[in-house]
Amino acid sequence: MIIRAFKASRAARCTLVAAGAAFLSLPLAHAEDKQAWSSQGDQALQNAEKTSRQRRSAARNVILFVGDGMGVSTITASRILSGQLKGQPGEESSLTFEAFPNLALVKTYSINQQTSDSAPTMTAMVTGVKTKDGILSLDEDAVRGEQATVSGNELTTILELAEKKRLSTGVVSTARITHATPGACYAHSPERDWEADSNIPEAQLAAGAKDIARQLLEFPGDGLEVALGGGREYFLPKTQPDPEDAGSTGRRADGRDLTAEWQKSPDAKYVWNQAQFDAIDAKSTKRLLGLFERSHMEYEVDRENDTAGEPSLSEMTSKAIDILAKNPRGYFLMVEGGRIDHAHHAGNAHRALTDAIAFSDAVKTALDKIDREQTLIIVTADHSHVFTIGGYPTRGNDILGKVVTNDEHGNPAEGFSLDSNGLPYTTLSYANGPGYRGPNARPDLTSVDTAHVDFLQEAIVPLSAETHAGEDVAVFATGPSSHLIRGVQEQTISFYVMTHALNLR
Amino acid sequence: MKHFTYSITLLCLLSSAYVAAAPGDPAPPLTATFETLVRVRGGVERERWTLTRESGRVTYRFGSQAEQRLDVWSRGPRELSLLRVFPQEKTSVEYSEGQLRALGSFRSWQQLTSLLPKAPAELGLELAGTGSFQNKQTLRFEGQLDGAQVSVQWLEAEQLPAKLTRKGPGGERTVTLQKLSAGRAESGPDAQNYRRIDAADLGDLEHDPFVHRHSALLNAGHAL
Repeated sequence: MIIRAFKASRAARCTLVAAGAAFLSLPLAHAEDKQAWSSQGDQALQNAEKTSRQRRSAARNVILFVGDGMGVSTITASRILSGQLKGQPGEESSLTFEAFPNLALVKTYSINQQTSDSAPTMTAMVTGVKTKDGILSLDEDAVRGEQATVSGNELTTILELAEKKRLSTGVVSTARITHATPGACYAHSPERDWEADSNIPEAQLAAGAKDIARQLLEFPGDGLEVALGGGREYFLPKTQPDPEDAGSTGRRADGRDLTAEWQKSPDAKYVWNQAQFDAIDAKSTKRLLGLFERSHMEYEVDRENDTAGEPSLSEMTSKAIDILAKNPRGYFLMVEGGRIDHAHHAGNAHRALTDAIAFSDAVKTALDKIDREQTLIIVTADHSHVFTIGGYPTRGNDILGKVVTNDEHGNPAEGFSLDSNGLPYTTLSYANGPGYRGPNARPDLTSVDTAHVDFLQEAIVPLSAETHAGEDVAVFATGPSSHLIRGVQEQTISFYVMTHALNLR
Repeated sequence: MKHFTYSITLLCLLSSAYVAAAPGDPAPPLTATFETLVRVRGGVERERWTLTRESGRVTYRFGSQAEQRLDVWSRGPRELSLLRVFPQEKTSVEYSEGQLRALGSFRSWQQLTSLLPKAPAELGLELAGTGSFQNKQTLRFEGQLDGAQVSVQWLEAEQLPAKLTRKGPGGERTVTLQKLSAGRAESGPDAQNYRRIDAADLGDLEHDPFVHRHSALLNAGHAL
């Protein structure tokens, strides 16, 4: 859906910019004259005052949305693309969660790294304690890859606290459900890659290591009510053919079929494709496991081409809420847009931004379903990426396009802005990654469709995968106790606000 | 690094960017051994490699027995995938179609099976004569493509070039068919029990020794 809208709206924008038309010829979401800015400022002030007076009640439910790798530059670029998909200049647009009244910046460093991976950052968010890179929900005394350092160093996650209070719990992701971000919610592992038993070294297995998929099944209390995402092969034995991908099998060496074990529980259902997912009646389903890919789910723009079909992040979020909300005690749900990160690692801004927009759509889906007086929603990222919005593009310039700047009168200039070698360049780029075009001179992008879904933005440093970045990420919050999200904080703040809101500690 | 360069070169030799997958599979099963010769900046580099074409699968083998790498491309009902196999390290890297596209490395099935994104005439090359390879007639096509002079000796029945030359500002690359047979090449390694990495996870494996050693080989290709 996003890609179709993209193609249609982009054609119109390219025509306008190429013709040197002023951005004001594009339809704006709101007026942009002196009076309009004044009115908007007054409205923002009133909203802020209203927010400061909001009721400090407890929450019954908490939903934590994590855009994996969704740094501030990704939010800005996605916001612009989102507006441009609607035929607007884009800069003035907003993603759903940008309307939330409360905001903080958080520091994403881990115990042993300046720039972190998803394991310690998610551990900080769901346990309130920072740990080392690669480690899931164990404290700083754990050593990566050493099972012997697990015992006594386990951190209690907010999902475990919620289970003790008999709340319902769920995790949803477009990545593998055993990947670091969802994994930190329910598993304690000294190595994020121990997703199936076959990924664990023999010595560590002998020392008692439990793989992450198994820990999902063995989650305490009455277990997770909802787990939706990818990663099917981590739940199936090596001898079992995959139902979707001919010639492929599961990964498990212990012979366990965890999908079958899940279904032994009363009222528990398992689905692996869109049709089965659509057939699930949330009212009569108490527990749902959905594993829609052997590994990660598709990027949003590729989803319609999936062999067996798979639900969108919005659809999974909606179904998860319908199932969890049946518990009168409340629920905790974590929803991850897991593939924003992967697209950035590939150096592909188009897929990163369209997945971020799909993530924003999932937040809207949640907002439309929940009781806002009873539900705290936090939207954040685990870390950023080395992704930049550069040059001096004119208003409404295609965010995925080449820079067209303004002339001395402030109107769009004729033709592209040129670098010191006379070559055009894109607004979006990466500091490192697969988009490196060297060692020769920069390529001539004049006739290259840089907004193509498969285009890789240029990168300065050649790396096989683009890397995370170390700057702060934003936390957006709305609902009960959301006013506590403010200032520049440690990344652990989300845990303390969420557990406070739910009275879990 | 060398193997990587060659593999990308052969797939990009005449690639037009972002070609769509061919709907049919007209190319017959076979095994073909090629040699790639690259002349650039006064230097010459050679590599022999093998293409094995089967129904729904194309395998490229690069390197020596001691340091072999296989690229196994498979086509399912709706999706293409690549398994890059490193037998000596019992490790493979899997690329879904979405990941190949995200990396700007998607290739049409026709390009994978025939080394050309389209038949030579459809690429706008002119028929310039005939020739032969192993007693088979070849059609010689020539012309300009993407600013380079291109020449192809084309085996029509096999849907494969006997020789492919591209001369451009960056140098000259020639791919020459050395040996052609109707059967399969020797069976490949059983990668079933190898460590299998999803290419989408490479960005999170910055400390992994295998990823470090082969980082230049782990991109399936570049966009340009």
